Amino acid sequence: MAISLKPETIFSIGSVEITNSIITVTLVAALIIYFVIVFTKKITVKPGSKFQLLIESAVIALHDLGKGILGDKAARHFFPFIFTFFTLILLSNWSGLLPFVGSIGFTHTAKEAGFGLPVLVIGNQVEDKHKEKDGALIPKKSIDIREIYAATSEEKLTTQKSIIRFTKGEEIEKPFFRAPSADLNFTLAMAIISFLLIQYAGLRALGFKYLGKFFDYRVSIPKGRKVLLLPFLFIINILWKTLELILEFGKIISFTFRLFGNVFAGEVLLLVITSLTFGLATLPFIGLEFFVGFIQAVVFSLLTMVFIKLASESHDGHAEEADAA
Amino acid sequence: MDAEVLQNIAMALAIGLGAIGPGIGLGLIGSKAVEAIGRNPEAENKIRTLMILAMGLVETVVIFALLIAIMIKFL
Repeated sequence: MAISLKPETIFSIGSVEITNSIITVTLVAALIIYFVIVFTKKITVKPGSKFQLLIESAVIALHDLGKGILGDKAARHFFPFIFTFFTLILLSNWSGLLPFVGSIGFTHTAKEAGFGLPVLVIGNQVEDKHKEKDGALIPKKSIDIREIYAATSEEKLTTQKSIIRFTKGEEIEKPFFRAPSADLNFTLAMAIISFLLIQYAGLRALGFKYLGKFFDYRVSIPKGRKVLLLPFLFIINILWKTLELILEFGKIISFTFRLFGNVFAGEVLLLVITSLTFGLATLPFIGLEFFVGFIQAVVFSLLTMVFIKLASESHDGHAEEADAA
Repeated sequence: MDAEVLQNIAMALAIGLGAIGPGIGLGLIGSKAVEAIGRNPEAENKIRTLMILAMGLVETVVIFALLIAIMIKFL
């Protein structure tokens, strides 16, 4: 099981490649939808089952957090979206810790499913290919991205160097499941949806004056002798609003890499620990990953709420009231 | 110098220097949070929530550095 940034394709439908993180996220979403459909039929006002109490406490906790940030009305308007984000990201983060994720998949020697134990693989497949081709040792050159993509297809795989193999398990080349949050596509999609939600919140609260936050370069003319400063005020206004516009898109990048980095680094950490010692030694690190996954889900939802609040405020800092709807 | 030697040095520098700032930052957050709880023990829940949130955000910076370090070495 090599460390690979790119999720591996399991099969393709036409020209659409289904990767292992797509399979996992479909299962997670199906699980959430199943629970929603089945358990909303059995909801009682005086909660009977412990599961209902658990979900209620999570909903109430996040709702109170939302009310503290957004105020009552806006919190009720945006809360379902935010809670869906929270649940999906939480379960995606935690799904990387399940036992069968990452260890059942196609091996590269036998092209059938096998149980593998994680082995840390270092060295580049492509470098080996170059060495074999020439026979003599050639100096290593920089790796072309096309060669990396070519090396991950099945025909061109060569043997890989490995540090420690501790049983006779086969190496897993393409696991069937992978934590969706360790896939840049998933986190990028979540970040873009958050961004669109924030823009919608701003437009809903402020109307078209929301666009004026980034593009309205008019400055109020100061009185008295300060009129001479007018060109400078104008330039500063333009620069500031352009910077804010760039920061809006910077939020997408930061959302993406925060979630991806935390979950992917956790996966790599577990791999390294397992290949250096034995499997049970990862137990404290699995606990850490559990905690980190929860924190990252909370941080994502909370930051979305904070940015919604910031977007609904007009320039002088008073929050505009939304229409009563 | 070989490319592989430089890769190792670059990976070590990336994560080593990248963890200085967030380390100091997290320590400051923790110390201020504990001091605030000491001054006002009733607000413990709110302060704890804010502290965890702030730690999650600062942790991001060190995760960026770790990511770059891993990408230098293994990609």
